[in-house]
Amino acid sequence: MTAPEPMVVVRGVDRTYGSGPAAVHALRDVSFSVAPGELVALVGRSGSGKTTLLNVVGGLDRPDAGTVHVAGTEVTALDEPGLVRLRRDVVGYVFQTFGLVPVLSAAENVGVPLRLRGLPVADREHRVRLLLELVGLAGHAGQRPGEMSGGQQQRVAIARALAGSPRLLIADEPTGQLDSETGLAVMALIRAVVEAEGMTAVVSTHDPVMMALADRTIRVADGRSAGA
Amino acid sequence: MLFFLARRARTQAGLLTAVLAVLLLGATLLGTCALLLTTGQDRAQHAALQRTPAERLSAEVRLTDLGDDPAGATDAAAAVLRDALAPLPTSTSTWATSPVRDLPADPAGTRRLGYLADIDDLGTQAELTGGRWPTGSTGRTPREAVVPATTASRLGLALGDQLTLGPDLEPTDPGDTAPVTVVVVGTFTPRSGPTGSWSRDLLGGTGFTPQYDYGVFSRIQLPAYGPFVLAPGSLLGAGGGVDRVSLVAAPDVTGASPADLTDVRAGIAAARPALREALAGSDTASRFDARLPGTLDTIATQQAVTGSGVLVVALVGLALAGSALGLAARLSAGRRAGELALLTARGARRGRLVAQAVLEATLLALLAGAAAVPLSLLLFDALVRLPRLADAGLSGAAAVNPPLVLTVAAGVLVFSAVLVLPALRPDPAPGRASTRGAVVRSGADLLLLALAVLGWLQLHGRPGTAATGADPLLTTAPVLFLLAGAVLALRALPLLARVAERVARRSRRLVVPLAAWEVARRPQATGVAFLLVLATAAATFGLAFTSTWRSSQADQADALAGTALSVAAPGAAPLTQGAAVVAATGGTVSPVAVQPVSLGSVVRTGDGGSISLLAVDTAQAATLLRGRTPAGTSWAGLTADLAPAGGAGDGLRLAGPADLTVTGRSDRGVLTVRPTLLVTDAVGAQVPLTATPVPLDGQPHGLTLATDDGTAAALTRGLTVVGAAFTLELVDPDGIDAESAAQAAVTLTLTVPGAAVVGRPGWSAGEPAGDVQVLTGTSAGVTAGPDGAVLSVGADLTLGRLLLADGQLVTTAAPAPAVLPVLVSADLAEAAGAEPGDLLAVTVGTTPVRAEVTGVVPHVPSLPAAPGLLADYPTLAAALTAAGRTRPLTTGWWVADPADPAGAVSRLAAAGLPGAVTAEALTGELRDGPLRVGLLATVALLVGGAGALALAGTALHVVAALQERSVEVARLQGLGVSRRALAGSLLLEHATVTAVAVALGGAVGALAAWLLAPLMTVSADGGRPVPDPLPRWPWPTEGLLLGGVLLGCAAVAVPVAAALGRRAVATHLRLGGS
Repeated sequence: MTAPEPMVVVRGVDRTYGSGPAAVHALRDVSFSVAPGELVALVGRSGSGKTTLLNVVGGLDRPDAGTVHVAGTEVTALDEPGLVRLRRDVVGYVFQTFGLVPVLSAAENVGVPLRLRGLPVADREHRVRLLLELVGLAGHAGQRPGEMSGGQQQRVAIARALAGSPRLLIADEPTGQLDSETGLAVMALIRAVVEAEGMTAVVSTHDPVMMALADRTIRVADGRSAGA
Repeated sequence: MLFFLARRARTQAGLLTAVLAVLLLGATLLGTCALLLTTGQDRAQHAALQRTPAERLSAEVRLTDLGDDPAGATDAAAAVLRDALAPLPTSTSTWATSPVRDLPADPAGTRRLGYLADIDDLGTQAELTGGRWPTGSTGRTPREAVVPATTASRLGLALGDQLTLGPDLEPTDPGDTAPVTVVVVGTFTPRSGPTGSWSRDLLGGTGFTPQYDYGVFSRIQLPAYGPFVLAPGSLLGAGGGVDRVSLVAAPDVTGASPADLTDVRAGIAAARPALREALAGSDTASRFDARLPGTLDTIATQQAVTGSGVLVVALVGLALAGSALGLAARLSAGRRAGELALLTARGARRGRLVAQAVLEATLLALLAGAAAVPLSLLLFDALVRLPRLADAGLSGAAAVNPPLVLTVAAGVLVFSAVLVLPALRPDPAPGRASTRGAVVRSGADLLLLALAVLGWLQLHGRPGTAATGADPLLTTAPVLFLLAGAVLALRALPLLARVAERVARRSRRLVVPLAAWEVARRPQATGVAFLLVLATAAATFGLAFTSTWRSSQADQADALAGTALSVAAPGAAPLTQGAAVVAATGGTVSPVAVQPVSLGSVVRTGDGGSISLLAVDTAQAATLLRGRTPAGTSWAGLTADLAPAGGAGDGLRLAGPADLTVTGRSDRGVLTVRPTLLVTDAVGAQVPLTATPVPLDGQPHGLTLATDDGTAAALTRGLTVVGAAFTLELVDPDGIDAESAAQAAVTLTLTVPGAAVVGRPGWSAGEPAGDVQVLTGTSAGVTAGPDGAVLSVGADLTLGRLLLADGQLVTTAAPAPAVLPVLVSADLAEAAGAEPGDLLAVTVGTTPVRAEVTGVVPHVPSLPAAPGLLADYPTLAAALTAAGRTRPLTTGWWVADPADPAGAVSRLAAAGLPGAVTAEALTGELRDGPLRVGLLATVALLVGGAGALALAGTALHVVAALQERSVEVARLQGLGVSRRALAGSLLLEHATVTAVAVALGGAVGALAAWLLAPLMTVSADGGRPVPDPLPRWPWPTEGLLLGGVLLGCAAVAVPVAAALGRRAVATHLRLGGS
């Protein structure tokens, strides 16, 4: 029985910002792969290149060299419409600072990916309800981000990221703005969702407690990866 | 603190530049308004004075009872005049007139009168037509004199002839008793002087009148000739022999400054007591009149109207700039919220943060203020170069003045306070921000509405009197209305939000709902919405007000002019004037009569207006009469019943020059008859032609006809004899008993060779009503023969009554109307209690006529502000003739549809008919005169300023949205939303707010214009205009404005929306919004 094709394959990725003496080499020859269903933690200090790497994997940034494959598609070769489809249909993103639209309620934020797919209203509202229940916020559907705690906002962000049933979940420091107890709960939620939905997750963190919940850890330091 | 501000300014250069731009716009707007109110008004006053006819600037002193030192009294009066008009350079014209004296009788023994004159600037007042001007000293005999050419012609005087004027007929001084012998050294014709000088002459410059009213009760009418103008100073220096002196001073206002005019006002106010003091100790009576103060008052009143308009623009501009800055302040506060939180967390006290805000605002205000002063000068210069303003004489570079500096300083001070406000507000409570805004939540918008309604009610109910100084009601009412409307419009936003929420909830997609949510839930939309509503409302109101105002000026001009072109009828050559008017204008001509009238005992109405009767040829009313009529009516319809009798144009139509004869017979008494024929020319003007008396001896006597000025009448083809008045007199009253009832049968036959009979053969005949009835059994008729037409009249005359009164037999071709149909102006109808169908006892001049009211009109054409009656000219002529009045009736000519009105005015002047007025020229003066055209500049400033501030505010709002939502946009892209969808959502959001705000603003502006523009439109004297203004909405211009605002806002938003999507997603995600 052959091993399943990796969900994520990163080969020789370089990314530099700026030029000349002030150039910042955010990524240098980074290579790794992630198997389907795996929860991988990208660990490293602040400024090590974790966010850049996640952006490259998710198609939000283009590397200067190297290739990235997600679910068998070469992301680095996609044009803008292709990237939009990737982000909409394949990848679910959880941003570092929650990333909720401040004027939308929790339910409306969660519904954004479903609207992108043009789901009928009833189906959309049903799915939103399920997702909010999944993350334990069924009673907060009408609240706006400004009316919720950090942990609640992050759980809404997770629900939104899951709304489109992505195959790959990318979470950039999902617990970075939270206290340890809340962060642990959020991480546990991600773990549970990954296992329950069978999706692949790449999560960046610099918290050792979070690393323990991951299947594998890839260290990123000075733009280089180790442990891939 | 300065270091921090400088560093922050470097990183937020774009935001601060936008704030500075709005500050500069607002301050420049205010500064320009200050210049319009100061330099602009001064120039308008100067230009208006330059265009004012000299007679409206002059001052006059009239002296009578001069005693034996007329020169001394004249010098004293001249000194008072000079002092009154100082410091303006002044030219003075002195005109001395002697009492009337006897001239040698004519060959028939008819007594004749003449008089002397002393005119110190005769060379300016008259044109020498022969000989030379007189010279000589007082004592020389005979004295050299020049006479009007008419006088010389009628008296048969040639150069070198001598003539003796007898002693003063009512001498009061020794100098008046001696006869004066003059030698004619020259002849002249009067010029139309700038100050109407020849109105000071006893004969008005005509040189002759056949009927000069002479005697204690002015009941004796004798022919009079003159003036015999002596060398300057001859009459005054003679010590006596002067009946009156007139001094007219014409100041030169070319270089007059406002301070000079103030001094002149004070000097004029002190002139009357100074004159009394100067003449104290003599019996000289004096009268002082000065028209300059009234002219200056009229100018000031008109300037007050324009000034009110400028103040409106300034206040609205202040509100617009304030709201734009308020928006900018909120946006920058939002931008700096994180920085503020950090500083507060680091221990910065509130007072320090406020001081920081004040310092920054002050620095911005100083920069804006310094730049606004020269920019205001530039903008003012550009405004006064607009074609209409330049043509009015307002162009020219302006200089910095204290009001400009103070206004800009005050403006930037207010604006900087607006910028500081967010720093003074307490931190907003957690939770959802309301989209309604603080003003709406507090209910202050309802208070504004109440004030606006109160202002409207006061404006609506104020009397139509002239204003002095800027009218506070005119200034505040529109500002309150616009502000209230704009704030109230914000109450529509929650409704819009509810609709948007519903759309979002029911939609399957993201783009429209996302835009709907942003519109419904972002409080910043309220700020930009208010700015757009107010700016659009102000601009649309400004355009609609301009349209209403200009339309009203045209209506007022039409009402004032009454017709397209009108010209007064001079006394000379009445038989050919009509043809001359036709030739000069190429239009349809109507003779016009304007006569003072009284109704019973009503001579003036309650507001002091004297009553006038206007008579025109109502058959041409459709094209001739101008002025707005009540809805559904026309002048043709309103005047349809004014000419019921018909018969206009009936009579004896002349085929050419003819020798008319009269043959009279009486079976008793020795009688003479003085015929007066009434003829009409080709355009229907009635002219009386008088003849010398002829005896009733059964023999035909040729008639030598003359017009009222004594000129021989040249009968030409096209003239029509429409009536005649035969005045019978006893040659020898001896043997006639006044009580006797003996009657004489009188027949008179007027033969008009070559004439054709037009109309019915039976003419009306009768004796005008009077105290004594002399004639009975009157009859008249015409017959046509191969040699011409014959008019035969007959009557039975009671001889004895001829001793008590003249027997006047009047006959007319048209039937004498039983009553004179008239239209009555509304104010006269109200004063007299007259309604259609009522009969009125009207006295036209001194002739009583019965009139019937056929209708009531808002005003009589050309008499918009005066009570009046309108009648049909031929019908009036027939009615007056039947009442025994045979004096000239025509006072002017009205022309419908003249070709090239401006050229027609020149051609009429060349033809001896100066002073023609066109409705077109009046409209131009009312709309674009130097005192009125300033409103154009203020509206241009309002529309431009509102548009610029609206775009600036929109740009601020959109750019702030770009910065605020850049991370949000990046995250939405991260979720799979395309750039195109995001740009579309932002544009849709912006377009919704803009479209709704512009629509609401247009509605508010339209409502304000409909309610306020007619009330704000005043007449030239600041009072209520006639007719009432109607609100006008210039659809094409308003459409362009609204479209322009929408396009302008789109032009700002589209590049921003496009840029938003193009920005690197990763950069924003990486930076997390910092």
